[in-house]
Amino acid sequence: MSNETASFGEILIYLIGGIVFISGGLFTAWIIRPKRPNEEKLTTYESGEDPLGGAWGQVNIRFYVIALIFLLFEVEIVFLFPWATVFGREELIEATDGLWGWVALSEMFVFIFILALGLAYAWRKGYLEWDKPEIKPSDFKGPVPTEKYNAINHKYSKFTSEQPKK
Amino acid sequence: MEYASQLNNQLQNTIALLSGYWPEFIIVIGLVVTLIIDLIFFNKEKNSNWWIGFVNLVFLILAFTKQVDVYSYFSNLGEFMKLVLLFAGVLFIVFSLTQTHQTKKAGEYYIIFNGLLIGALLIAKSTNLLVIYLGIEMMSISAYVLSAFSFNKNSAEASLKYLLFGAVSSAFMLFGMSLLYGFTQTLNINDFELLHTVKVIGDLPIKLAVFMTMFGFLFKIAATPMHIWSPDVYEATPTFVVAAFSVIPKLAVFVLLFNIADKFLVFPEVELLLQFTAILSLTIGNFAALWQKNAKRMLAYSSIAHTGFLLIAFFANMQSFVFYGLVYLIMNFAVFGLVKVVEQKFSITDIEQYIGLGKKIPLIGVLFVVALISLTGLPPTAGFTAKILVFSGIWEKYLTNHNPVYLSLFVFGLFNTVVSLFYYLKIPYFMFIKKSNEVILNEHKSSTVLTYLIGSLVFVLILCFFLPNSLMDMIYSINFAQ
Amino acid sequence: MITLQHFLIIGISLFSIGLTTVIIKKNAILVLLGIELMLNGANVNLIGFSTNDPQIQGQIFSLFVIVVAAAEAVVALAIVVRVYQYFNTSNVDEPKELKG
Repeated sequence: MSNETASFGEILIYLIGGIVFISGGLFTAWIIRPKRPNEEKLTTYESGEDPLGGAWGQVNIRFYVIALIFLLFEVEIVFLFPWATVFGREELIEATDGLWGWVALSEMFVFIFILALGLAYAWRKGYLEWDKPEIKPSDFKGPVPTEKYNAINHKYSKFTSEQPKK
Repeated sequence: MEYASQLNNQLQNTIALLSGYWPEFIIVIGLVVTLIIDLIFFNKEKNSNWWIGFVNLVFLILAFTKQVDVYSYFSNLGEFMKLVLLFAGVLFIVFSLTQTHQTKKAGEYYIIFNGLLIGALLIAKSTNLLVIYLGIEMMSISAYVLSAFSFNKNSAEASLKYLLFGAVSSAFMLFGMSLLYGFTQTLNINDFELLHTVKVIGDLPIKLAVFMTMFGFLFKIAATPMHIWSPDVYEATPTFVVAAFSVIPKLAVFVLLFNIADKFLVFPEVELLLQFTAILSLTIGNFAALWQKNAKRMLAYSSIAHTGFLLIAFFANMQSFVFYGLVYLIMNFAVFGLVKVVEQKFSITDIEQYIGLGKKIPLIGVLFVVALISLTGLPPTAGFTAKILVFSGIWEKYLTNHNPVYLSLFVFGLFNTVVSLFYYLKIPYFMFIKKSNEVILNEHKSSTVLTYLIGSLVFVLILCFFLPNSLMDMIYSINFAQ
Repeated sequence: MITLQHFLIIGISLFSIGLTTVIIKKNAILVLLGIELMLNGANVNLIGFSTNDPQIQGQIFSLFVIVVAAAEAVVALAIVVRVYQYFNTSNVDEPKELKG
């Protein structure tokens, strides 16, 4: 067997182990747990919130801006990992009289500084804030006076005490 | 420990070489400083254009003077064209400073332009595929953002088109680069020995890789099969940005073409592709420009045609290319500046609306005429000198190698110069000659400084026709042997 | 044994799938997905080719490509949002203001 296949064998062992552990845990729980379902228990778990609508519902565009900023900063970690493996190596630092350490450190500092500047930009310009939509009052003037509308709204509102609770 | 001592030498070497990158460093520092100033002082809707632009201009001029030093040390084509690119950058910022009205997001405007400039400088300097890729991407991502800076419907559409075409073409280019890396096992273009690898794997895969890489390069210079984005983008983008778009990426990528020429053009097919592209760009650019109604759109097609001319100059010789590139820079900035002046004054960009403007603003009209004559390539302007140099160069090439393709380049170039006369003179025709009923246009204030700036550019164009010697001396100071 | 051929087959498949997506899909987001696939096809190529290179330049190149792709995606999504605000669609063939 070649080397590469052998190293994939280790991954396979990890995979099998993971599957065994998870399915074993779930199976044991399934055997020993009491089964008394009710409506609350059967709903989808969303960290305590009541689920609204289907899973394909549209997401507010403001999540998008946050996601864009996240994406930009998250991907930069790709440079930090290779850097971290070579930065602190003693034999390299000794062979170059400490120059290696300083060069590597200053390069990464410049990099992080520019990234941080980007974050500062997003913060200062208010892209990290959850800005509320402006609700513009309508200037429409209909023949029916506003009080009548308000009265009807009040009458059929579900928070008023006249309405019987379902 | 052999590796470690080698590393020491490499590090020392790298640090020593960094002094050649001072212009780029200064621009990066300028970018950061501009960003910090913008963040600290100009959060609200203040008119920050003047202050931020001025700070940026100071850094760019600093970089320019530093580049003069670097050029006097290296004095090759790449460094000279970097000088030219920095000059274009300075010109762009000076032009943008004259915008009197409130500009939206002025800080971002200058910062992103600096990004574009750094990308262009990297392309002009580098012979490493990785750095070339990063430079091209830096330039094009900045360009996508800048093309959305009109903040209206057209601008959004144009930037979407630009982005999609640009991203696909750069994906092609990247794939080609990955193949080239695989065949040669190096990213440094100077180490490419394509002819050597041909023996091992045959020439078809290598040609494919070179074609794919070229695809990305040709997209950036808007040569014909890959030109479809440019009219839309030119029409919808702020006019000064268009002037920068039409000059900076083009000249940078042409320097890149010169750098890779002796490695890539060993295949006759690749050379033929470039020559065919030149003829096609000339013909399609000029003929499509004939029936354009919008001035900026017409100039977009004209700049496609000029890409064809620059490609002909690329095949003629380096001297004529440098001369043509310089003159092209000045002409384009002048003519787009004039379009902007008219846009500011009367908020029109359609050619037919230019009717009778010659009487209202005679100075602008005269400047327009001279700049357009120079774009056509007629005396007494530098455009004529540039075209003469290109044509004589290509004719000499034909006489030495008797390749019919060079003859057809010559013939198509001449023929297209005649065609271009028709649409360039449309603007003076509408401004001066065509009679019309008095159309009342709302007149706004426009910057007089801008007019004087354009006037001096046009003056340079005329001066270079009568006294081309100083310019030629400058060009002959370049060490073309590299 | 994973040879260079395997890498190249995966690379060119990803690239072709991406190109097909770009050509046949109308939604801008899907087109961007296709472009991302094309870039990753080139990435697989680069990594495959760098197995024989002691300096692993190809792998370094691919790291840079990942970051550039992310930056491009951010700009692209911002522009798509902008287009959606104006045209109320994210299909690439519906904005037709510029012609001539």
